[in-house]
Amino acid sequence: MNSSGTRTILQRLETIPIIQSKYNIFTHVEPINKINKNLLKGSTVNNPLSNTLCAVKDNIATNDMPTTCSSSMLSNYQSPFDATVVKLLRESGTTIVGKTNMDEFAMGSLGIHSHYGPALNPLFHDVDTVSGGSSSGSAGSVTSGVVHFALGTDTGGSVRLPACYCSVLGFKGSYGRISRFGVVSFAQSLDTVGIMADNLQRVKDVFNTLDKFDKKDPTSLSEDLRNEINSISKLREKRGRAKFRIGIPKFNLSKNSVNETIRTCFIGFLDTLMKQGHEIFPVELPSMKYALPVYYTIAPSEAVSNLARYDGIRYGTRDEKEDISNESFFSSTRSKFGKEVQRRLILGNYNLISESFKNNFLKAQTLRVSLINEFDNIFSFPNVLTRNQNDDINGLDFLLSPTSVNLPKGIDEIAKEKGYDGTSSTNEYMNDLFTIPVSLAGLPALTIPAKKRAPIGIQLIGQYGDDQNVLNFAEKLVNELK
Amino acid sequence: MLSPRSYRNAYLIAHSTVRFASSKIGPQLRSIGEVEQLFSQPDEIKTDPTIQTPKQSLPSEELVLKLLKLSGLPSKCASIPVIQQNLSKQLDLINKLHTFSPENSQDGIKLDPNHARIMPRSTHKLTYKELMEKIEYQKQNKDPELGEVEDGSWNATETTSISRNGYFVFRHGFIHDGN
Repeated sequence: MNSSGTRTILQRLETIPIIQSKYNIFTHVEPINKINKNLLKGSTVNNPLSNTLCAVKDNIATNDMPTTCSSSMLSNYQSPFDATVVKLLRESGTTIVGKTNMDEFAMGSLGIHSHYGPALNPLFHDVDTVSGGSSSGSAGSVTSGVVHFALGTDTGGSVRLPACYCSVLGFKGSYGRISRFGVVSFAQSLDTVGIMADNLQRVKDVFNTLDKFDKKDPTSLSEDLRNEINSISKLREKRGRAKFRIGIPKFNLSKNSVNETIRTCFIGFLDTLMKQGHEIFPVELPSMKYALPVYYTIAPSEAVSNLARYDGIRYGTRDEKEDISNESFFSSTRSKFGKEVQRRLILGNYNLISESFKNNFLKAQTLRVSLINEFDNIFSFPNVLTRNQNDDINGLDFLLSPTSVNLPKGIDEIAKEKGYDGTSSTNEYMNDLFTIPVSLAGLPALTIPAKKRAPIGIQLIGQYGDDQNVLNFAEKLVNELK
Repeated sequence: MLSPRSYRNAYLIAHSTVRFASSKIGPQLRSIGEVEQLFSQPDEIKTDPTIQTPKQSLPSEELVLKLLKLSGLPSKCASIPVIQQNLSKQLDLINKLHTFSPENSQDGIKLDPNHARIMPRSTHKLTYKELMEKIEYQKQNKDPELGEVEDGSWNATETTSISRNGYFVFRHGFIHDGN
């Protein structure tokens, strides 16, 4: 460990108490002697991630730290095993500093629905501002300089949006690339583990460490398909193209739909790409306008199933007084869920009851298939899962969009948006307008800060499985933005 | 008898279905002026009068109580009017689904909702031999991290302290705490 590396790590560790008291980023911080011990152990590992500090979102299981999902329901829960991603990180030599604050059970896009209070945005020193969610603390831990990188989870944008708001890189890989074993499920057909870091090489190093088949995860992308994707990528690399075909989805880009600053930034970025010789095309994806209702049908419905286990018997802090209330089992225990979780459980059950199942849930599933097919129709890289026909010559290499619709708001401003009668607005759901379609199709996507220390992100999207090319092209974009 | 609102909603659903169209790549944008022109176009959803979402009526108290029970949430101290309002707002968002008609499928291809999962769409059918090989492999490669124990089964009653006539009394939780 060289002396400048040691000093840098020490400086990072020294900032933790100040950062934590101001921004509420962590739900658990490891004792300093344990961190030092792990740093020493990690320094002997010959890996790009040794001598680095990282943080892990609090819905990823760690056997030596609590895993609370920022919920009262799991406030005293410690997992008996490590998630696969945690195991791989430990083997790589990085040191885990702690578990990060988040929206409860990953349900939220602002970072305000935590049992431990909101995680605030370190970019804003004077006004308490949201970090975005649900991986709010993970984004904050990177942008505040405490850690070199952090893990989050991304179901509908929960890595990309907080990364955008905190002006760091946020990568969500193709669904199935990174193991979900040990990740507390919110919506299992959408959940992915994501990576946040302050530089692209670090994102790549972490992704290369975690991008492995895991037989413990039944949705893990098989070795055969990974090899097939690699073969296709290598063949395409041989063409040696330096200029790419980039699509802009014609969706929600008008003046009234997206914040003017974000819009201006995005147009400026496209101008830069055109001057570099890349080809820009408008793209129509007719099913994209249904993405939000599709997501808010499927995700809460899956959450109903995944959160059924929190009854105080299998998991969860059991109510001391009663198990049955008003003929409802475990309702006293389950009242420990926060308000947003409860709202989504009610919505999820509505979508699954017999009166709505066909019209809501099945329709949403059908629309999801439609959206996946539409993406397949416009990308040049083939989708190895669907085997839909791709257009190798005229298809697109990537898509670009803004990451967020708005700039992050102050906590007070958001509190005012609640109804006078205490009802909640669905405005928060709109934050994920650009990120949700990507999640529904399981595509890889990276948010890149448009300007240094500004909460504006540009989302780069690739075809399913084409993660390495997304990261490689991003390297060119990041250099341009410098 | 349907209420006037229900008739109106049924009319909107019948006349608001969107004809499915495949995704398209438009002509290349050659200048930043063309990009700005693209961005200045109003969003389709705001100008197309055929895309109207039926307005959601307030969910009934009976429905809310049913949903609370299904969710395992308490109804005793629940603010039913607040839940009704919240659910109504959420359903206003979701009801946009009803403007889509699955009959107008993409290029005549029927959409199968089973393909919604991000997993291989066509899978190879297991043969009897492959199935037996998988079972044998699992027997020989137990993973304790998955709770796969040596004798192949979980002793459901090992934590009991009292039993009589086939009835067992549990005095401990089912979850081991890792110690």
